[in-house]
Amino acid sequence: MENMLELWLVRHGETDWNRRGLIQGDSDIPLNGLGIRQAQALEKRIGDEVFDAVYASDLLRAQKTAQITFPEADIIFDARLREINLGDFEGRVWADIPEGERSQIAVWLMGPYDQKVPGGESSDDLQVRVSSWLKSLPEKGRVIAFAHGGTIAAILQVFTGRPQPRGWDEPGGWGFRLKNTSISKLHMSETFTSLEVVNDAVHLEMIED
Amino acid sequence: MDTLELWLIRHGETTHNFENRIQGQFDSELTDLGVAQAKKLAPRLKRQSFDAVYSSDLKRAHNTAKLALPGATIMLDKRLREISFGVLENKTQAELNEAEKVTYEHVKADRFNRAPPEGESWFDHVKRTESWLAELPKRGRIAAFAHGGCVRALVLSILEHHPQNYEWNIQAQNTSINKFVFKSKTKLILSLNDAAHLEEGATWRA
Repeated sequence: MENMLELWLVRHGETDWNRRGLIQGDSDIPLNGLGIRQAQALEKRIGDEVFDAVYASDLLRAQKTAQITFPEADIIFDARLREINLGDFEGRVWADIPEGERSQIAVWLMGPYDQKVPGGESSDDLQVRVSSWLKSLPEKGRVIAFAHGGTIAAILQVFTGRPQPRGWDEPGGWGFRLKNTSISKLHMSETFTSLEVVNDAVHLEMIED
Repeated sequence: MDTLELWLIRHGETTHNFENRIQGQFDSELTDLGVAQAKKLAPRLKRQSFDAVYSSDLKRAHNTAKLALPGATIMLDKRLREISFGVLENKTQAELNEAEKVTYEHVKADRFNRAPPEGESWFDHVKRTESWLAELPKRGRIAAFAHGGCVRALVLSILEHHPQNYEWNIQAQNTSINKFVFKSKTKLILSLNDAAHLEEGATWRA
């Protein structure tokens, strides 16, 4: 039997910037009250699961989500799990960005993927970063990582590929959407990867908003 | 803006799933476990409202739909059937004769393009799924009860037929919910293989 690694990927709980629709990127914004309750619901659901290692992005929102879920664990913080750096766009409301600038950020969103957001990273940069982290994982066992929507989507796209680059305002393209504290699971061997679960956040149904 | 949300749901366990028998479009029955799985799905779907409910006309999907959404009007559509494995259907690996084993290996080596006699390639299945999808309304929320192959075919379609190699795959458990959003310009994979209703001792659930 070939070695198999079971990898769970969890997005952090809500922050005030998520709530207000601000572009967050790698700005270090902590969980808000709802984000803490989401992490507590996650703890109720998966707190008894046993993992060989617990990883987290070193940004506060991912750290805290991990600590609430696994208070006893020795969490390995890794900057390679940080959200993509969206440079000059961070802290701004998407809807308020003027059309001209929007087409600029769309170049990054829709490819070519080596284009960096001004002051930030490219999609390719993020792929390189998450691929490097994946390669550092053990070959077998069961591990969990607390990270970010963009980072988890980038990890999934290591396997599925990314949408074909297209022009601004052209139809086409696809993406993943990951809810706060959602769980995604991969089974990885050297030659084959199975996307077992993507974006399961049923535990949020028990929370009052 | 037009937004269509699709909940694509796999059928419950069947005798063929249980016996590890090549199923395809063979019209197998739900097992007792399959019936129980479909009933566990019901409370999750009850909290949603669907503008339309579709199902594959194969019994395992249709019966899952009736158990999970009692009372709903269900539109049956052959295009939601599982991929056809043609002459290989209704056999276990051990039951394949020499010629069938050769066929099986030949198809397996290029599943996207090769079909067994009287069966379909994955590309055929993707095209069939896309034909169904193209006729759906452009907005609202729809539930469709179908098969594991349909979930894969839809994902392959969304991914622009890109992953023709099989170095990765997606899992779709019995009665799992798979959610997609189709907007005028883009498509979203919301969730894959959510089968949280089957978890043991799910005390976190409302």
